[in-house]
Formats: sequence, structure tokens, C-alpha cells
Amino acid sequence: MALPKRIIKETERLVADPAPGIVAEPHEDNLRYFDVRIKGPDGSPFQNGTFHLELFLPEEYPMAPPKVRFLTKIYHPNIGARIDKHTLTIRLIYRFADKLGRICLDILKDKWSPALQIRTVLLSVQALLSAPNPDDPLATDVAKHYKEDEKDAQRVSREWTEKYASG
Amino acid sequence: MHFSKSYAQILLSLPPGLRENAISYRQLKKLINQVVQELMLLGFSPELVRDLVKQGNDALHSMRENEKPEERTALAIQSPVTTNSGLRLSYEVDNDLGHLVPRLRLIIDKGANVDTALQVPVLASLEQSPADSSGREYIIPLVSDTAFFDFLTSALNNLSTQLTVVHSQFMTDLEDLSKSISKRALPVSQVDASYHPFTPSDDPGTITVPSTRSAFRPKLDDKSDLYLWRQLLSLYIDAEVFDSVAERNRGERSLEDAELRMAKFLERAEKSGVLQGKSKKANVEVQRFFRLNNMILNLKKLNYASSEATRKILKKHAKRTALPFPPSLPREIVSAVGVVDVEIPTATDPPSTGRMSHALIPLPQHCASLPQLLIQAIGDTILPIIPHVDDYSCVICTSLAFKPIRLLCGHLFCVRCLVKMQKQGKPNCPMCRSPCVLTADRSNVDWALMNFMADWFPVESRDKLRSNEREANAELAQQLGFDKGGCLVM
Amino acid sequence: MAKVPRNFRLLEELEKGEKGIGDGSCSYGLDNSDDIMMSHWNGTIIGPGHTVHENRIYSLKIHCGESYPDKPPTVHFLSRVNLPFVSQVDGKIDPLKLPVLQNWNRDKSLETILVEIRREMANLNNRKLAQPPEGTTF
Repeated sequence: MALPKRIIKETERLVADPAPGIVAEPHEDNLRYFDVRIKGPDGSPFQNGTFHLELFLPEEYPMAPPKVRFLTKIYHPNIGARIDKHTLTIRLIYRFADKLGRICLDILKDKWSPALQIRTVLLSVQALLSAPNPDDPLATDVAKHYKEDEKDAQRVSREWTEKYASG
Repeated sequence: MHFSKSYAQILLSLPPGLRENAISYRQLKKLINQVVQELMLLGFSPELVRDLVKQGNDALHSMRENEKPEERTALAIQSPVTTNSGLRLSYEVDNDLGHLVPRLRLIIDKGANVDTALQVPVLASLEQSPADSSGREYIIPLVSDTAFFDFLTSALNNLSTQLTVVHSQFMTDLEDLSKSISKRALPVSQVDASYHPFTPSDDPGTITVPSTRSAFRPKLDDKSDLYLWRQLLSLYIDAEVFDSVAERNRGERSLEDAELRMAKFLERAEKSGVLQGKSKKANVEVQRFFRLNNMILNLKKLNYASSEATRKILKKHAKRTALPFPPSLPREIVSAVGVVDVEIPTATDPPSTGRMSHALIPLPQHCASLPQLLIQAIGDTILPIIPHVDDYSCVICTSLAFKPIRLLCGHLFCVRCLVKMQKQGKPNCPMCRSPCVLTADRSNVDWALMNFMADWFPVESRDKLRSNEREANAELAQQLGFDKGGCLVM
Repeated sequence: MAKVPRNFRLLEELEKGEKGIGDGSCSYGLDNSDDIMMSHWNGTIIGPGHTVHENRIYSLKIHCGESYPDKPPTVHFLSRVNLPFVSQVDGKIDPLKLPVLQNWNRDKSLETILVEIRREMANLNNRKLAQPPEGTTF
């Protein structure tokens, strides 16, 4: 099945005129599947990090949102999965809680609009790195950490950035 | 390569009308030689001036503080030089209504070292004895230097005048081309007698772009250059010859970049076939379009060459004469005229003014901004003649929004995307989230716009209508469960 | 149709598995919940009723390689079980002997594998096979 015109246009622009700090390239064997790198914004705990993500445009796109996931481990209140119920200390919890790189972002869910694009989605993800929003979390434990001791949480974010996102 | 050589080469690539009015770099160089000679005769060899400058550096700052306010009002630019011998030398350029008069001012302080002063021949020949204990001041006019500045300013003024002529000629040509394109790039309604606009009494569900129009393209192309210009201008916009709209390097392009892109644009236009096989009249117009753009490119070149020539000649002047270049003028004067930035390494430069702006030698405003003005003019005059499909496209599918549905909130979508939203039960407008999607019905068809689209985008309208039908059929087939068997004939 | 890439396909399967599938007689999940590549899975099958497997709980491990779902995963029984397609050495399922793996295509999933294995357990030929003691492992 031919790729919809809209996806072709979006891809052309992404490649020819990339947004600063964002690179998105389609896989050769699947033009709906993108390899994405986002630079950690300056001044955030993710500064100097390069974060690897994957993005997929489902059949219903743009009526349905793209699917986006971090492949680089990241310590961020809005990114991560469930809490492991068996781990008790906070320290252990964040080591195990931020898991599959799934992103909690309203525009990727119920606030999606077909007027949004791959570019706007990735810019929103980049913005999320500048301003973590602990009130809307997937990784609740990281969010708790951010709410209770923002400085310490930022320190851990920086550590993780250096450890996992500097390659 | 020597600048004078590369300057000559750039000028040679320009059309005679522009070339002949460029600044004569050679002549200016000769004039500098004469300035040096004159200074030698006066006794100010470059070595001595440099020496005075060096010795005077320490005294410079205290000198500045003592400057009287009225000395600044004459637009005189002073570069005072003093030595511990009690001799003060300044190079002043008086701006008399655009006429630049350079001169040297010598001040001999009370109790100056007469021997040092007498080493300067011009002083030795002066009437008053420098030994006078009250201190004296001499003004020494510089004839050759005045000639140098006269030549330079009149060259720049001449260039400015010429560019005004070029500007108005360009605008006339542009207007003329615009009229001529408008006459030939006609919509369907102007060339097809069978054209009928749609009316709200039509059933929007059965709207088709008539079959006469489907076989219309060749017929349309016979009588109208609409698609020729649409294609050419679309290539032109994509080429971004002069300005970049990219996020990373927005703004005016460098000369080299613009030249490369112009060549690429021409190549693409040739490949696409819009340059051949058309009527003679169309060909002539297309050529004119290219000529106007080349003119802009040439003006950019001239702009670059002139400001380089001015910058280099002033640098040479400072180097050969060792006269310290006047410090910059007050800010308001600097910003009021187009300015050549000159970097002149002189020993007198206080550390804070490494780079000085020489408002004294204004490059005509025209030279700097004319290319941008003309690019803007093309954008304002030619581009609007042919409606661009991007301005009438549906934000969801990015194709022409045909048939156009106008929601209550005012936002526009194609009927196909709107139906999809309704089927999914998505109530909110994708642009503003106001809840007006589900209530939209045939009363939301924008008839005027639909007619405009069918008239100006006959090909795109028909293509979109067809693709809408295909998609709707495929969707229906899927709902009925036919999609996997592959037995559907489409 | 758009081809869903491996990782997003596995995310879908994970989310479905978390919600619970079918009547609960089969279930699966990630072995290690921070396995970002989602390669190692565990599965559980509750033995079908009216067979020798009734009331037994079987654990399996499933490995999804890089080419999943174009290629089937490799599946091992962790609990000892006697079935013709299960190696009695290490519990590995022979893909050539289990139709769901042999005739693998993208439409099949971790869920279909477990459901099919359970169906095989209830198969006339297998329902009465003598089984190792309950609770033993490979």
C-alpha cells in the first residue's frame, strides 16, 4: 500500500529542515517507522545527553497519534512504566520503575489532534525534557522523587544522562 | 589572489550598466600613493607618524578626558596623538555636509621639546617660532587626502544614484511581467465556455468535476499558462534561492549559496520541461522571470564587491599613511546610514574599540538593501497571481481541501477527513478543539471556495475527488470484510 | 496495511497481556520489567480440564528475537511436561512439531502460541500421556 501523501511530505520536511536538536529518519524497510535522536535541552538535567527514541505511524495516522518510545534509559517523571510492587525502598523503586521508555504526554493520548505532526510531537517531547511535569506521571516513583526532593531527583537525572545518554 | 584582481573579475561578470558604475579601486589606490607623497613632503613619513602614535598612546586617555564638548559638534573625528616631547598630532576628518575634509592638527604645548618639533620639516618652515612659550596650534590641510575622500564619496554617491535607476527600472519590468502573466495564466472559467459554477442547490454528495474538465488539461494548457506558472513558481519557492526559511539557518543567503541555488533552480526548471514546448509568448515571459532574478543576483554581487572594495581601500589607506583612523561617530549617526564595517589595526586603537564602524564613509543605503527589496517585490507581485495549493489544502491529508467543509469555528477541512473524524466520533476541531465536528453537515460546504478551487485547481480538484472515492470504497470494502480476500475490483 | 515494527508490536502484546487474556487459562508477561528490548518473556498455562494436565500450572519461557514477529519466538517449558513437541532434555519446543510455530506468520502472537499449546494438551493424542511428577522442572 502506498504511503499517504501527508507522511511523505512530513518525512521530506523532517529530513530537509530538521528542528534544532532533533533528528528523525525513517527506516529503509518501513517508512512509517522512524529512528529519532533528541538532544537534551541546555539547562535541563538532560543537558549534553543524546536520547534515542523510536516512533511509529500506525495505519490510522493522522487520525490516531504516532507511537513514541524512549530507547535510552531516562530518569524523568513522565517517562517509564509501572511500579514494581515488590520493591520497597525508594532507591530500588526508581531503579526498577523507569522501564520501557513509554512517554506520558497528553497529545499522544486523548489530546491528540490530526493537525499535529511528527515534528510537533517530537518538539513536545523535547519540551518535556526542559520542564518535567511530575503531576502527570507514568513513572510514579520518579514523580514522587521529583515532588519531594527536586534537587536530588535532578541529580539522579543528570547521573542517568551521563551514564546512558552520552554515547 | 590580490583583491584588485578578484574585484576586477567580479565586475567583469556583471552587466555593463552595473559594472560601469562600480567604484574604481585602482584609481583609489593611486590616490593613496599621492596622499603618502604629500605626507612625505610635509615631513610625516609613515615611520614618524607610527612613532608619534606609539609614544602618544599613554597620553591618549588623559587627552580624551580633557576634550571640550564643543569640539565634538563639528562632526570632526579626532585621533589625537601626543608625545612626551609636548607635541600633539591629530588626524581630523571634518564632515561638511557630506564633503569630507581631512587635515592634521598640530598642537605644541607650552615648554615643548623644540628640537623634536623642529625635526618635522613643515614646522621648521612655519612662520611662528615653535619656541614660543605660550604653546601653539597649527592646522595643516591635506590636499591629496581630500581628493581621496572626494573621489570615494562621489563614487559611492554615483553608485547610489545608479542603483535608484536600476530599482525603478526593475519595478517597471516586474509590473509589466506581472500583467503579462496575469493575462495568460487563466483559470478554467476564462477559457472554457462550458464552465458552470456549482450552486448551493446542487447536492454536495453528487458533485463531480465534469468529464469535460477531466480531459481538460491539454485543452487548458492550450489556452492558459496557469499550470506552467504554477509549476515554475512552485519550483522557485522550493529553491529558496535568496532566503532560507529553514529553522536552522533562517534568513538571507550568502552570495555563493544564492548563486548555487539559482543554478539548481534553472536546472530543475529545465528538467521539468516548463522551459520548452510552450508558446513563444510564454517562453519570453519565463525568460524575463529568470532575468529579473539574475538581476538580483548581480546586485548582490555588486553589493558585496563594493563593500569589500570600500573596506579594503580604507584599510590600505590606514596602512600606507599610518594615520590612525578616526574613531567611530556617535551611535545615532552610525545607525542612520548604511555603514561599512572596517577593521583597522592601528596602535592608537584603545583596547575597547578593536572594530570600528566608519560612518564617515557610508555605503549607500541602497546598495545594502536593494536585493532584499527586489526579492520582496517578486514575492509580492508575481507569486500571488497563481494561487498556491498549500494555501488551500486540508491540514489533515495535506491535499487540496476538496470538497471544502467550513466548520462553525471557521476552520477548513476536506470532506473526506471530516467524515473520518465523524465516524470515529471525534467531536473537536483539530485546529482549535471547539466541539463542532459532529454537527457539521452539508450546510457546511463552502460553495464559494469550492468554485474557486474547481476554477483555479481543476486538476487537483479532480485528483482529490477521485482519491476520496477510492478511499471511501476501500473503507466500505473493509467494513464488509472484503479487504482480505483481494476480490475487490477498484 | 502499515507494518507494525517489532518493539511497538511487543508493547501492544504486553499491554494486552497486562489486561489479561481470554478466560485466564493462559497468561504472559515480561521476565524483567526493565528489559527495554522486550526479549525475555514468561508464560503460564493452566492445564485443560478433563485431561492429565488438569489443575497443573505450567511455566514457560519465551524469547523474542530481533526478527519477531516475522520469525516466531523460541519457546521452552520450564515445568516438566511430556508432550511430543517438547524436548525431554531441556523443555524446548520443536517448532517443526508444533503447527502454530511451523506455520508462523505476523498475525500470530504470544497469546496464540500459549492458547495453541494448551489446545495441543487437550488433543486426543496428548490428553492421556503419562506426565512427570507435578512441580518438577527442566
